[in-house]
Order: sequence, then structure tokens, then C-alpha cells
Amino acid sequence: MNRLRLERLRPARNTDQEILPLINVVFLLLIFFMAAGHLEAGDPFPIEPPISRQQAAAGEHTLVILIGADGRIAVDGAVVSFGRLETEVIHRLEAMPAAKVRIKADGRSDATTLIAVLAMLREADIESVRLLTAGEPG
Amino acid sequence: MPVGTPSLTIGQRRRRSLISLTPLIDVVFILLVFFMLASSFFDWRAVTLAPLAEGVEGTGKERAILIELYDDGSLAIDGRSMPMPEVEGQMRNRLQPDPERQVLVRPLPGADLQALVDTLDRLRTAGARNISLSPVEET
Repeated sequence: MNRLRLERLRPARNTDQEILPLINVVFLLLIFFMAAGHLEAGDPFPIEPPISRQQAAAGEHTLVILIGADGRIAVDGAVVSFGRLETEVIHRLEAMPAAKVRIKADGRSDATTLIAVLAMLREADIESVRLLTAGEPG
Repeated sequence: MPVGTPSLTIGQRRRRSLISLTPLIDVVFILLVFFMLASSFFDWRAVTLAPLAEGVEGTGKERAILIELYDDGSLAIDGRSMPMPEVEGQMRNRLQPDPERQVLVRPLPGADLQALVDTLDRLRTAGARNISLSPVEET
């Protein structure tokens, strides 16, 4: 049976108001990702860092030498040959003398490559070098 | 309201906000996607690398302990090979009289970095304080 219904006049609703909760959530997510994450440049080749029991914080790293699993070497994102590594490192350290040298090496890379890089750094009078690692999972 | 029910509505006055929120949401979404993709939550740790040995193994009161790391992950302490888990106990016994005794770690070609980091971890747990890395001697 069809009956005539009279609807009470509802206050006009703006469609924008209906999506306000969505905007709230999106803003919260945005603030979370901005505050909790940190932006960093991508590496020229993938690195799986070695896992260490030592729990020292990595701190600031201003000059990063990358050693890939296949022995490729990069300085601050630019791939270099081993022969040019010393020149590149010295060149960059001249531009920023207070830079801290960090080595980001793949856990599967040959340890002798790391030793060779350390020997080269010692030739360049860089003694304090730290190796970036990942904490133990769990 | 059931389908087909006729209704009478008195004309609503539409209220428009001054600025539409839609472009704002577009920008916020784009920012959110950017930060989700570009942010890294990886927790980097750092190990202070032991200095390279100068090639003098006989400094100090006693001769340095030489640990060689093979490509299969096994170790040899002063030429005596032993599996990785036994090294910690062995080194603890040897270092008990003199924790400052120099320990040379020499990875041989083919040994991977993870094995070297594990070895350094175990040596530090065993109480070694004077650890140096040593390159393979060229013959």
C-alpha cells in the first residue's frame, strides 16, 4: 500500500563533511610516516647487511662505502672501481673533512674485500671506520 | 525509505563551503603515498671495526693469538681448526690470564663477511679486547 510520507526537513549536509573522518585518518597516517620514517637515497645495488649481536647505534654516517655481494664498490651511491676508490674517498673527504666513514657491506661479500678496503683507508690515514650491520631479528 | 514511496521534500538550501576539500585530499594522498614508499624504517646498527694489524704479531708480553677464518665458515686458532661454537670457550680459557692479549683475525679468500662479523661477536663475548684484523700474507 502506497502511503504518502512527509519527510522532516533535514539540515543541509555538505558532501565535504562526510569525508572529514577519512581526511583525519589520512592526515594521521601522513604525520606518522613523516615523523617515524627517514628518507634516504637508494643504493646502486642491493645490500643485505650482516647481522651482529652488538647493539651500538649507527649514528650519523656521512660518507658511506658500499660493498656488494659480488664485490662491486660504490662511494656515496656512485659505483667506482677498486683502483679509483682511494681517489674518490680522498676527494670527498677534502670537501667535508669531518665526515665519518661507514662501510655498508653485504653479509655474503668476501671478507677479504673488506680487509682490502680497510687497508686502502689506512693508507689514506682513515683509522676510525665502522661497519653498518643489522640487529638480531626478534 | 522503501522503493516507490513517494515523498515530499521541501526545497533544501545547499550550503557550500568556501573552499572545497577535494584538492586538499588529493595532495594529502599524494604526500602519504610518497612518504610510505620513500620512508625507511630499517634500524641500522654499527660495529666498530678492529684496526688492521701492522704485521707485527709478537708485540706485547705474549705472542698474539691468530684466528684464521676459512671459506666454509670454520676457524683455526693458531693452526688448530675447530668449529665456530667451540671457539668462544677456547678463547675464554686462553684470554683469562691476560684479556689484553692481541687477537688477530685473518679471513682467508672466500670467507664471507657474515662469518667474520660472527667471529668478532664471539671474540668480544669471550672477553677479547685487543682484536685486530689481519690481511692474508702475500707469499
